[in-house]
Amino acid sequence: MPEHSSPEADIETAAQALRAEIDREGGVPIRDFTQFAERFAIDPKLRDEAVVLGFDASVTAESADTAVACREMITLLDRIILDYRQRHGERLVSERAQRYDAVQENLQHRSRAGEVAFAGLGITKAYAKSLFKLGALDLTLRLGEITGVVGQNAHGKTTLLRIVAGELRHDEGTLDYPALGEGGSRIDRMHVKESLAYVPQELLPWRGSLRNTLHFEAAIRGIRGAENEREVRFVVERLGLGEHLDMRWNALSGGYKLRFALARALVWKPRLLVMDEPLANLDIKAKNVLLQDLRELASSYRYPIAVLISSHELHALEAVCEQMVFLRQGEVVYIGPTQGVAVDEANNEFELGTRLSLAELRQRLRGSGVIKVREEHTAFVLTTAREIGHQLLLRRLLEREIDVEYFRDNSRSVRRLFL
Amino acid sequence: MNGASDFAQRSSEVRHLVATADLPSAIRKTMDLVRDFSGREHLDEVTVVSMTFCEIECGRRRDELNFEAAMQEKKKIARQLLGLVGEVEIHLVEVGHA
Repeated sequence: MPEHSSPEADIETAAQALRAEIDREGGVPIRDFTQFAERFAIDPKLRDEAVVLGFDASVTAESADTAVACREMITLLDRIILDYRQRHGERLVSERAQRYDAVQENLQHRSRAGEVAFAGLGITKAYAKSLFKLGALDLTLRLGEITGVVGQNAHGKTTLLRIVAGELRHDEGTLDYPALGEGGSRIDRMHVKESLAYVPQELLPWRGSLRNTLHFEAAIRGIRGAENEREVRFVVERLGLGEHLDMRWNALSGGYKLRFALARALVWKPRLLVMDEPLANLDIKAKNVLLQDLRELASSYRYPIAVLISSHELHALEAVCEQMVFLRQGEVVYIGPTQGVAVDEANNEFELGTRLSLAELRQRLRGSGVIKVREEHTAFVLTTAREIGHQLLLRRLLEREIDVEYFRDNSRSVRRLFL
Repeated sequence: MNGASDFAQRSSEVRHLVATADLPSAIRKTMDLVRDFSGREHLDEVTVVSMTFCEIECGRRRDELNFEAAMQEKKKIARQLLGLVGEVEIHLVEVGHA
């Protein structure tokens, strides 16, 4: 679509392109059609009709039905254009855009996302018996952001999380919880513990009914009466727990136990959520659902949450986190933005899984731009110059008939520090 | 622009999910949209929509509802979601903020 054309020309051009697409044999252009309606329908009912038409077309598999859907789309397209012309759509669309912009600006201005929820400076913790020492480390957690803590077992992840959660006393450093109204030299740890949500790795069984436990949790956080009912119903539905609400704790799978624990943590809308190894023992689907929910709920506009989460699932965490912390033997190897590792490095690093031996692989990679190849457990680590990105490298691998069973670009990932 | 405050983008995303018949995601996104930008009435309504959808899915699994009947019910849900999102938009534009 031309960028500087008039709205009238825009609708003509867009309609023409859409008609051509509908005329072409094949599926129904649902996305383009609903986008057209979204942009040009003056009457919201017409816009919604376009969506419902898309819904009908999506659930139908028969070609005869597809043809009907295409005809209906053309009819609706004509109605949208007619309505647009009759009501001087270009002016209304422009006014609507201005109104929306004003609201957006206001919303943006009032957003609390990015405010500091927790700030720790020079945090240390030493255990006399094991001689293990965490830190010193600085950590800032912001509303709306997820921070992932990774590292091998017994390298300080749980210690850090428990300190932030107020479960463990630190030795040195300062902790501030602006989102909880706590900070300075005298922190009320009891108040901190009560004001943030902590989901430990080992979940304690719920004794009563799941429903009553959630109502009780909301009640002790001051949510009472109709509001209590509303909040519990909402969180249960939002996390897809409705069907399981009348079950007993012991009858739940590990995934659902964790989701109920999350419901209990979220029902009172905390500002700070700390989760220790929540992905352990979850199947792939449950992990993905949990991380997606965390991502969506943390970045809420009205109730943004600062989330601190530890896991071994490095790549899964990197997909949802704004910030990563990598601990090795209690020391911070990296703390910073996700995909911010090695940004100043002159080379890239990739992980490759293939059936070839190291010698065969080296042989085939000659002249490909790969500087170094080394074996790392079940995969190979390839180092290239900075200008060889993943697309170019993949192309070169395929050109050399190297079978690729697994490939990952670790150039800016914390994974690079593990290998 | 912070993604969460981009209500136009978010409502548009819900419409797209409805159009592609991904109702579970559409419901989830509508719940978040309502919670962020509207009040109790809409919160109750979207919760009921979610519960109804869950009942339809259960009915299908237990063979208590045939495909056509389930589709009819889901289409009602689709319309309800669109109505809700439209009302939230109107509410936002009229009030000027969440």
